[in-house]
Amino acid sequence: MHLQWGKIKTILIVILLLVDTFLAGVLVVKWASEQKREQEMLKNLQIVLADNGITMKEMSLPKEAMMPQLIIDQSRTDELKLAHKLLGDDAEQINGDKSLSLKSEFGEVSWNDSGEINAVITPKDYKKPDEDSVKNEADNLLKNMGINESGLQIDINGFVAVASFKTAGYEVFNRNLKIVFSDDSITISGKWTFSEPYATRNNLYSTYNPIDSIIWFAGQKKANEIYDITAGLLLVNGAGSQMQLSPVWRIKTDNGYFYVDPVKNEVV
Amino acid sequence: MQKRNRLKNLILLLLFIAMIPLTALAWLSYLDTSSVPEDSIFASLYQRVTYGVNGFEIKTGNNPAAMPTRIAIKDEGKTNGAQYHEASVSVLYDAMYEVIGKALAAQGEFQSADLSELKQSLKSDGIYFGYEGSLPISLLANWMGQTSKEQTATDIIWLDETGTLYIHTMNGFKKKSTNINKWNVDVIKLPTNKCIFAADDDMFQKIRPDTLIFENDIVHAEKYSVSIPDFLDAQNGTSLTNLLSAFSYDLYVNRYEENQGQTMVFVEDYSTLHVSKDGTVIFNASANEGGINVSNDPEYANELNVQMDLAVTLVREVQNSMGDTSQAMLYAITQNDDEKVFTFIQCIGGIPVKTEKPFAQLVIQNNKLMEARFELKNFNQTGVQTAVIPTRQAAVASNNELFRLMLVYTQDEQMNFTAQCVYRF
Repeated sequence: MHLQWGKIKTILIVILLLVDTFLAGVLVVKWASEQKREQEMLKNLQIVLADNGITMKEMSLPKEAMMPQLIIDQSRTDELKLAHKLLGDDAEQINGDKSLSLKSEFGEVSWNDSGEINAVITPKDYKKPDEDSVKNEADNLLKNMGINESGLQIDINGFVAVASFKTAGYEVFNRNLKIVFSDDSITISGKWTFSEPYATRNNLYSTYNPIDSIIWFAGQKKANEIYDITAGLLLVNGAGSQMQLSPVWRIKTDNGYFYVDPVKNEVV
Repeated sequence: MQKRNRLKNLILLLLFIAMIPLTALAWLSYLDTSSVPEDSIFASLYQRVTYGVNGFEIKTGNNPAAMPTRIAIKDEGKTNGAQYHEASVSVLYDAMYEVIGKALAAQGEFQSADLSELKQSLKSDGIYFGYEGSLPISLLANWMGQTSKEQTATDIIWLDETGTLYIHTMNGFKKKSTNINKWNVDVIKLPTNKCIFAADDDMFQKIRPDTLIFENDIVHAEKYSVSIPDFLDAQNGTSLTNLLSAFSYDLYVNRYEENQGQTMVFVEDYSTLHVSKDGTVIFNASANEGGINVSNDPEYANELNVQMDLAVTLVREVQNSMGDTSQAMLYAITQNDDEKVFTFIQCIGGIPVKTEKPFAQLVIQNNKLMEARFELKNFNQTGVQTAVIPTRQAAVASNNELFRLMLVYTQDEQMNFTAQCVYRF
């Protein structure tokens, strides 16, 4: 009986070994063919671009991006809360255009109807921080403003801090808060969103091919060299208080960054 | 012998464990989203594993299709509010909709009330919501997170400190008693301005008593020029693909020209879509098969909220296809037999736009959207501010106590849109 079990186990080991080897082989072959296909596509793309007078610098081509069409509602209430956190509860509303503007002894904060903030504040006992402590100061300021999104990233350049976070795994290229620490005040500017993004079931995902967008972009004659292409989202005004997160390809060139809308085929 | 047996067991276990991720990877590498049923748990799992896509929710458009244009709260005799300013009204709505929603959903029948009763009630503390169109209470309550079966349409809601709820219908004012007579709203933190109701001052006897009169009024408003979106011109910043997709049309559907090239007609088996250079877009289903489904679940298809979802989603998709950022607002729902007509108007920054034909009209029969008509235009800022008569002056000049004041964009002789203060029933 023991001997039979031993044989069965050996047979099972052989079968599992074959299955695992087959599966691993399938994956390796697929990976190798994808690599080959990618190299060929890159080569062909370089030829097409060269015909348009564009050089593609050493770069790897990203895969097709599967991005969702997302919507975010502009939350005036959260914008107001943030303004009060910067200016205090006694802040007064400034009457004017379509924006939400408040002022107090600590400064002025204004949110326009595109979800863009412009604020100049001087907190009580404000002192310009040392260059080394800019990140800490920015971090504390953002926490005081109630901004604590998961994955919040803060980039520092001198006395400027730029806060951003990803949505649905993609960078939102034009959503960030730029915080500038000056001698006597702090300036905050940029687009920001508060509500959770959502999608409707009908048009959840679309596939976007980087090659299509690069070829279209090459025809626009806006650059001579292309360094990189990245998939991401761009915050654009939608109907009413809705903002859309439009999928775009960000193309890095010798003439700067360009954002190509793959649906409308236009530079945004 | 036992050692060898243990080794075999270990190898078996390892090979079995290795098979699981290898199978999953092999399965995922040959899949794409189209091969996975959209609603299945596998689709969600596949999206998360393959694309790492998360951090958002999937929902249907259950946001309000209409917002009040005027909101005020009277507390200890002092009234604060905002009107015709989208940003401020939106904040006030968020702060007070729960209270109003509960009052709308409260048990009880509406009874007729006369103007003098409303006038007297407005002198007490309370919360006021004013809409531009007349909308069913069931819909308003749903947008405020409550449930009501009341189909009476109203354009105002006034809840006083005794819990009496007043509404304004086509047949005059109505009221009902509720037990919602306490609320906790911190007025200081809200973007409000001091104001009074016309009922508060004898000087304003000849205007509807719920008219809001502000101390610091809007005296200037931006003038807008108009441009017509041309979907037939690819360089126009519009997206014909998105417009067609809003009506579930493919870009390569059959098409022909009409009106000497001024209109392109897209033809499906049982429906047509006319897209004209003058901004008119008309969808028409010739048979039930050509209509757009309200819901795949027939049980819910006749519910007003579900039909509303379809109408709002379609309107917003059409707006987005032309880059229109104005607010489309539900103005009226009319019902004839099994047919409902949803009418939308446009608002710029919280001020309604008056046009000859409505911005959008959608006809839903049972489970299908059978007709839709859009009059599309883009409003462009001119940088010019035009004067608007203050509400105080306009209220004094009024001579009809059934009329209220309304701020509205109307087209002038130069075809630009300027804000005007007008009297309205």
